[in-house]
Amino acid sequence: MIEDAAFYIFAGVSLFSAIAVVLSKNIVRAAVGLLGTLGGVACLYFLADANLLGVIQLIVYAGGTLILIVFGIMLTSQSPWVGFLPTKVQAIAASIVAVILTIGIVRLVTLVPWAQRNPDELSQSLTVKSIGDALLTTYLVPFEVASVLLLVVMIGAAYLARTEK
Amino acid sequence: MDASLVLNLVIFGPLLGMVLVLIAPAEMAKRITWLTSFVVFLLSLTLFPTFLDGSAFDGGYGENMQAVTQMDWINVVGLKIQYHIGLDGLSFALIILTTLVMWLAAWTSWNFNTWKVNKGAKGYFALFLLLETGILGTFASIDFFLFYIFWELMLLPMYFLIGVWGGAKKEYAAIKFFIYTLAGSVLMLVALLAMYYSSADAMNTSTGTFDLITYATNKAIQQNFNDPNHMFLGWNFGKVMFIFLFIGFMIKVPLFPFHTWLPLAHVEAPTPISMILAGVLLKLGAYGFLRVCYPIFPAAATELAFLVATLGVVNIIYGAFCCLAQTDFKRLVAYSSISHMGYVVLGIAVMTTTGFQGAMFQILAHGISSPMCFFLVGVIYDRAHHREINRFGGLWLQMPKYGSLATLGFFASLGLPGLCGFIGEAWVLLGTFNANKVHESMTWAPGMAVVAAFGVVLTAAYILWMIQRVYLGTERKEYAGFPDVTAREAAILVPFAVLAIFMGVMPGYTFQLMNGTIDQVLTLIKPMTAMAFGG
Amino acid sequence: MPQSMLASMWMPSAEELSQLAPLFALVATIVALLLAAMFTNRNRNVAASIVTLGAIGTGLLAWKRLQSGAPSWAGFDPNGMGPMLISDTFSQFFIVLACVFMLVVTAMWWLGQKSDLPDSEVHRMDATEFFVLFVGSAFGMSLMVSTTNLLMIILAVEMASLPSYGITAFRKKNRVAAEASMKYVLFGAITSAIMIYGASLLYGYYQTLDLATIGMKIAADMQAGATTGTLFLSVAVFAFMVGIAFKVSAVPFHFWCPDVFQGASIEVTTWLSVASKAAGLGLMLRVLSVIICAPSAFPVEAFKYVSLAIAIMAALTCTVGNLAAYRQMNLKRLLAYSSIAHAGYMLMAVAILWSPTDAGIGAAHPAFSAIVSYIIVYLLMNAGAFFVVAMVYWSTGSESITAMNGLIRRSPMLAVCMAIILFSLVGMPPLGGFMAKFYLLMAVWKGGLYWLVVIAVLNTLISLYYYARIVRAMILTDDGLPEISAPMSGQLIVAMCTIGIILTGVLLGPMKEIANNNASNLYAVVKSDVAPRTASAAGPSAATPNTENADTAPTIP
Repeated sequence: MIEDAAFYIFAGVSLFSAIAVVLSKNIVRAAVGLLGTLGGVACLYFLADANLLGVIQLIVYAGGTLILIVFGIMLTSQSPWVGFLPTKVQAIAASIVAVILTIGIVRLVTLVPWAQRNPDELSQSLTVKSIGDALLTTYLVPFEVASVLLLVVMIGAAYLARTEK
Repeated sequence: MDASLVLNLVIFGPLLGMVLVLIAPAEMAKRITWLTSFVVFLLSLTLFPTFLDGSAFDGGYGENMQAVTQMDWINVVGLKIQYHIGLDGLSFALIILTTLVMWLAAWTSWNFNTWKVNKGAKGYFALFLLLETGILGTFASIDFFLFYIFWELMLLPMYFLIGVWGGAKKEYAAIKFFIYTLAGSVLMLVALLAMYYSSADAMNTSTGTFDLITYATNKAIQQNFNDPNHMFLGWNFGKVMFIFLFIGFMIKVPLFPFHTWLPLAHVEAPTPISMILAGVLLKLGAYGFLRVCYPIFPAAATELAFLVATLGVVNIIYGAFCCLAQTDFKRLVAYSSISHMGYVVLGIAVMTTTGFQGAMFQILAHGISSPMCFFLVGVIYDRAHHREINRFGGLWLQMPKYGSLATLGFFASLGLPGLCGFIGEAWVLLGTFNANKVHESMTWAPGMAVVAAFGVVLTAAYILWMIQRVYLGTERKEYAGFPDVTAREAAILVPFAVLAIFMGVMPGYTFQLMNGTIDQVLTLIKPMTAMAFGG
Repeated sequence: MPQSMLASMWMPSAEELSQLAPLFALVATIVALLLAAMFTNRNRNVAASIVTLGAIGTGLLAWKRLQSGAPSWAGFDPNGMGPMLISDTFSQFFIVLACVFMLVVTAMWWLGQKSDLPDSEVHRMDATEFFVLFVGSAFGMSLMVSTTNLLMIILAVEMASLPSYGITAFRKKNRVAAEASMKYVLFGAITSAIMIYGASLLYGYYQTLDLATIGMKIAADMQAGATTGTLFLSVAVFAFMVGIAFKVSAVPFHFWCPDVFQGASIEVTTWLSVASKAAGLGLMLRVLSVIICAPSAFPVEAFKYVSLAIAIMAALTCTVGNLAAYRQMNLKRLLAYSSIAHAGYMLMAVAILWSPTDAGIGAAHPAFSAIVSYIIVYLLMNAGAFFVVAMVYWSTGSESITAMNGLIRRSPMLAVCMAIILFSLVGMPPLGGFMAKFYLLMAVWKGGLYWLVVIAVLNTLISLYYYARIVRAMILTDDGLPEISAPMSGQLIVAMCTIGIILTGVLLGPMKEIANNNASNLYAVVKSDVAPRTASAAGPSAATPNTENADTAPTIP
């Protein structure tokens, strides 16, 4: 019961923060809204017993990425992007697409008989240890590929960010 | 030499010549081309004996093809394409015509370095020979896929030959020619695919066939292609395919309303290319009707006979009226081609022996007279550097030999009895007039013949009027010093003139080359036409 | 089971690892590039040599596997959850193609060094970074054709995309390049997001990341008479395909393509024009082969919609590509639209593959084989065309169509080759472009989508005009531009491409044979790989979760 209530509260928080991000004209407020969304989603992870994922969400997104974005905004606040607003046509078109997508997704989610999992087994499979094991066995290949990806991308990013001599 | 080897040499000989042209220095290009096309012409003549003794026409349609080469080109799962070439009465005379016209056109190109655009001799002659391979290959192909490949192979050289070495509006003319013809070929491509898979269905095999003879003679395929209940996207299969193919070929003929590329291309092209266009390329469309449309889709052909005949008559009359309005000499000859090709289509449309014979004869006759006319125009253009009919006059007096040959050529085109044009037109008109006796439902045929006969009068009018304005009348000062035809020009004109007279006086020899096959085709399609006419 | 997890720690065997030698070779090339840069003071020639060697080595390794007829191998499957990587004829074939093309692009880079244009300058200075990103994207593309695992597919697509964004923006001072890269990133990010969403839907419902298992479960569902999946399945599959559609630049996910092709330097454009599309199509075929062909010949309602959607997409793609190419004056942009159009032709065969009708299933094999043929010819055509444009560019500094004026005089060899290549792009017989298109149309016709054939032939007609515009500029127009000093080796490459185009057209048998073999092998893989698992997957309905398989699976981040 209390879990249900918590779910709706956190879901509400992330949803309203997300709306605030979209509607806010001040870009700093939008960033704060983003924090609410990311935090709310992290709380939803905790509720679903995915503790590690929740922590990662907080550290990487709420902690790292968001701070980077805020810094980026503050350092470049002179740029024309601050005042960027969509035109009416764009806004209408985007709303139509969004509404259609929402209806579609809601229908999809409610129609499909999603698989139910046994909560006990689930919580066991979501421990840090089991995830760590999985990363080094079942998911070893994706793990390694991701590291190659990061290496290559890091070099690309370093090149693009480097000032010209 | 083995006939099939000769045919292969005839088709690919020009390709060898092309390689030589590309290797040898530019000054040698025209000599190599002349020699290659001449040798190819001689080679093609050695195929004559088989067709003269009549044994080529024993058996049914396609049973006794001559000079056949048949081997697998590609044979993988689900797809079989053959390199299958051969000759019968429909194609043989056209092969000879092609090699002859190409040889004479190569000779016409002798003065290449006096042309306005005279750069790139190598390119010109290489493309010229590539074009010859394309044309000969199309006539000899029995496999529809091969036919299509050769058909398209002609497009590129023609595009460049008009586009690079043409007149003032050459680029527009070339691209228009290209786009029109490609539009026709993509329709043909669709039909190609449809026929392949339908033939597979009909024969209950996983691999269909592209063989044009099999299409026409295989009972199961014929049943399938001409079945009124065989639907394709809600339309009758046979009819749709017939129309696709017909449009593809009619653009080449060209039939109204797809004829607009022709006057442009003819006028802008250099003289030898105009000769090839009129003498050979237009024939490919008509040949396509005879080889592909009619034997394979007789039911659809019968049902659409009225439409096709009407298009033919429109071409005759419309082309003739256009001629009357022309002041450009070359344009006039171009429009006269449109008018003359109308007879071919009319003759084919009525599907009678006389009609088919007349159409085939007219194809050959026009293949002789129109290159001759274009060459005659070219001769005077080389000297006067303009083509305004109204600015000429009295040329006969200044250039007597030229005047005589020109009159002969234009009279052949006009259809004067005793010359080649007459026989074709007369046979077509006769065949059309009597068509209602062969096919009872063709009640419209006599009327059609009467209207078409009116075209003969118009033809006489525009040709005589033109002769009067150009060759007769008083001498004009500006043309006073014009030399008469040179030996080279005479050498090109004489074969045409001799053939025009020979075919006119003794048409029997020409008919002999094709009658057998025409009978075979008509026998083959008779049951289908009879059925389609409600018999 | 959880207690003894570490004790039973799984390690891949040496034999398993040896199956992936080509992929390792590519990663090794990246590492070698970085190390060499440290020790040779970022020497650009060393970097280029390493890439050349790496490409040759990878290509030979893949070729060896291709030739030895080694049985297809699918591995890295410690818990029986489906293979992570696959090494079979199909993947090795694409890796060989990628390596050949890497060599072409490297050759182009090398030859471009000689010109003194600003972008060569950039490539000279930072060759190491350039090549690391370049090989990285090649690695991603090789992965794309080597897996049937949802997670790996997403990683592979990212691996192919992210470095591509980098090399697009490589000319840092060039505003057009920056804008192009920005568009590329935005489009890439959004389409990836949609793709991941589709993948998560599939995973959420079927509880597995392995596409082959998903295919079996779909079949089981259908046999059990479940119909609730139709909407779900069509949305999920289509959303998943969006990411791949982005890679092949299908309309409406094509907007990045013209800008990126124009903005990126010519080496990058050449690379992306072929490799990115080939990899995208390879992945599509791979996905299809496991989802569609595994449960052979069952009419899945949902796939009708997917097929229709892709057919419409294909029709739009080639029409939009061809029409938009009309007005282009920039050669790279024109070729970009042309490549969009060609992607559209290839997608037509993909639509056939998804088609669940009898005709569609009957035409699946020809369609597979047609796409493979098309990719081979397409590679030759684009390599040749871009090489000619590159040589004209190095010599004139212009990418405009007018730079081609009078090429027949300025460099007859290049002009003749380019004309042949362009007419092959139109699809004129007897060139390779026609044969490839013909196979494709045959397959589409056999699959029963007649209207698509009609659209394809109409498009051929439309495309003639703008290709002929280049031909006209080269051969019919001449405004006295100076002669082109084209490097001999570049001319040789162009000539080889042209000869290849003519040979694929005239000797069409061998190409069709290769393509057929590839298609058959893909079927063979599917059958041998999936058959043992059919029983287990088909047993319980997919709606009841298979917790045994799912319990070690962490949620997708």
